[in-house]
Amino acid sequence: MLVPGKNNNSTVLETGELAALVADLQEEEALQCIERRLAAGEAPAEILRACREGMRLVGSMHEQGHYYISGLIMAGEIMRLAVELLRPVMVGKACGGNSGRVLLGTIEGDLHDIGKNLFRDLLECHGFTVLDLGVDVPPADFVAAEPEFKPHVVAASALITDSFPHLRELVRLFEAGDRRPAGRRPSILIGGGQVDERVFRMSGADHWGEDAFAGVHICQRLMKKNDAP
Amino acid sequence: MIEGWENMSSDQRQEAFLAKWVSGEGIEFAGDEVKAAYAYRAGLIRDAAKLKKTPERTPVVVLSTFAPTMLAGCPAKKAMYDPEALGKVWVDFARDYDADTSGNPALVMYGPPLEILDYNLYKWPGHGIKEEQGYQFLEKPYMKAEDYDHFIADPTDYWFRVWFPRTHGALKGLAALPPVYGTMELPAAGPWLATLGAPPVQEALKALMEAGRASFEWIGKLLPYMGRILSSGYPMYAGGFSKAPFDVLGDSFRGTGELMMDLYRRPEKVLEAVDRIVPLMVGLGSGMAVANNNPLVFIPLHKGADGFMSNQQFEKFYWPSLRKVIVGLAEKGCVPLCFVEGGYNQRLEYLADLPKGECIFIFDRTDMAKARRVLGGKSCIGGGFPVSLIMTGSPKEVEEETKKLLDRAAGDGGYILSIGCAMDDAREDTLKAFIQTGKKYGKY
Repeated sequence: MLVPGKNNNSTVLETGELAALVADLQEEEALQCIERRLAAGEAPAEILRACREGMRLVGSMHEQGHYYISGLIMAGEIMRLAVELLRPVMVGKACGGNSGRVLLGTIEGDLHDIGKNLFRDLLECHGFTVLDLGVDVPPADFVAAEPEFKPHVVAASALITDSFPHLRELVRLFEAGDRRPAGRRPSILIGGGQVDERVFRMSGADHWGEDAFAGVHICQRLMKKNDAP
Repeated sequence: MIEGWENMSSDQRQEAFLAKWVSGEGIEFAGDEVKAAYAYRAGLIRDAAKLKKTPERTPVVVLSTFAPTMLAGCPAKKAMYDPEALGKVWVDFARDYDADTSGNPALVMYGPPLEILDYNLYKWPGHGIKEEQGYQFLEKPYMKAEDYDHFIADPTDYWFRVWFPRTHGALKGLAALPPVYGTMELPAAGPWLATLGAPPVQEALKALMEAGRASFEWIGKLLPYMGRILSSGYPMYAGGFSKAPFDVLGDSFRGTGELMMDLYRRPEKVLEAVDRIVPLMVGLGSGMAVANNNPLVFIPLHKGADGFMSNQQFEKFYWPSLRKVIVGLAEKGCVPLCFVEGGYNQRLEYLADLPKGECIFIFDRTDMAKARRVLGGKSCIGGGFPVSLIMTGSPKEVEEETKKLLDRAAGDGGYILSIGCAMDDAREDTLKAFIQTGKKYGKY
């Protein structure tokens, strides 16, 4: 098991130095390692793969209770800086995920974005492609973005009670506009702040997540089940 | 000044300040009956807080911001622009809903000075938010990583000359000010004063003057209503306001993302900064409490909740400075009322490390049975009722859930029945069911 902040020699051997440095949140060392490997002429796709392996370890350490939001934010930042280093030398798509597509936004009337951004970063860590519509997003804007992006999951965040009716409206619009066979519209996932089982039932959404991590698990489950188109 | 204050312990000072508050000193009550009702309600809070006497029943407190105005059909914008409408609604809310305390309508704030100052830290109704909705915080990294040393060396100077210009559009000119310290001697006073005369600085000072004048007029209109709330027998659940130093740094200065990365990139700076904030937060909370003759200091807790950081990070970065604020406020006779947002199931043991009966913790999503187990007999607890049930349930469901919560959390005292949220909205039938059930079934 990799323990944050420790010298994880065994993990280094198992996963490779770069993945271990990313997983151990050693920002400077990880970035220096990337620069060294680039200078040595290694394929950027290989380097990126190692970074993603590090992020996968971060995710599993979170699940084991070793990392929290602070560590995940730090890991996300290391990944962002790594991609910045790699992007200029990458050919084609830098890090396109293939786990699924999630259309995301904080629902109308609500400007809170910490949880939403964390959810987005976590999804990207797990290989999802995310279209983030931002905050205060009217339900109609989710619907408008759907045909082009073709999300598997539409995820809406709400922290304040005033926004609950807009969650219901979001579900209603997707159901009203859906001319596809039953079960083929994107799954609708809600979460954030005061969202709970009762708000979920009131909204008519398909799923609710207690926090960003639960939300990622739901998206993964949906993709596995091929519940979404 | 209370007699013998200098030689009192924190506990004795709290008792003395609470006694002064419960007595309703300085309030012109309509009659003895109303005065007795006020003393009864405030006494319930005192007994719950101090853990020395089981109150007759659990006090019922409804934390609220815009809920009273929303329930009265008064849009949030009107509440923020018409102090008389705001005041009237809050007087009516206290009387009609009849919880044991009222909030302070001044926390709804006044729109015009925010406009004058071009205030960027929040969006408010009509300014980035619909007219019917309450204000919302706009978190950004207003303080840069390289600013830590300035902040640590002199938070007030930083606040005034760097943070104000970044968060208030009309105060940009203050960035041109040199530090105030030259004024200690005549030869260096000239340059400082001359800078005050520079047009951008003059504009900023004018904006402050204008915002101050508008706010003074506003509070002059609102104060009589606040007086009416008190004189009709309802004490306020907050006399002062303060914050956990880590939240000050995270909410208003660095932003969550940057501060969480600072824990890894510059941990020593974070520790120095939060320590610098401690006395500022003690002074802020106690100063307001004394001015309002109410020892309760409301402290919303944000970024120490479960999930944000590990317990090791909590005990290094979050808890020590918060504990110093709590203990510091208690030393001044104040009773910190921490509103513990999110879940604190992993942190309860830390909260237990406080002198008995000196702090109140109102919880949002924490397991209340666990909170009772860990904190019972140590600190007063409260809250735990889901706001979602107020918004979506029936009065019957609310009644049942309230009874269950009382069974889990009320113990033999030291509990305040409350909803785990400072409400911007509510429903009349469910909120009244909550309050009445609490009064009926909260008896010990």
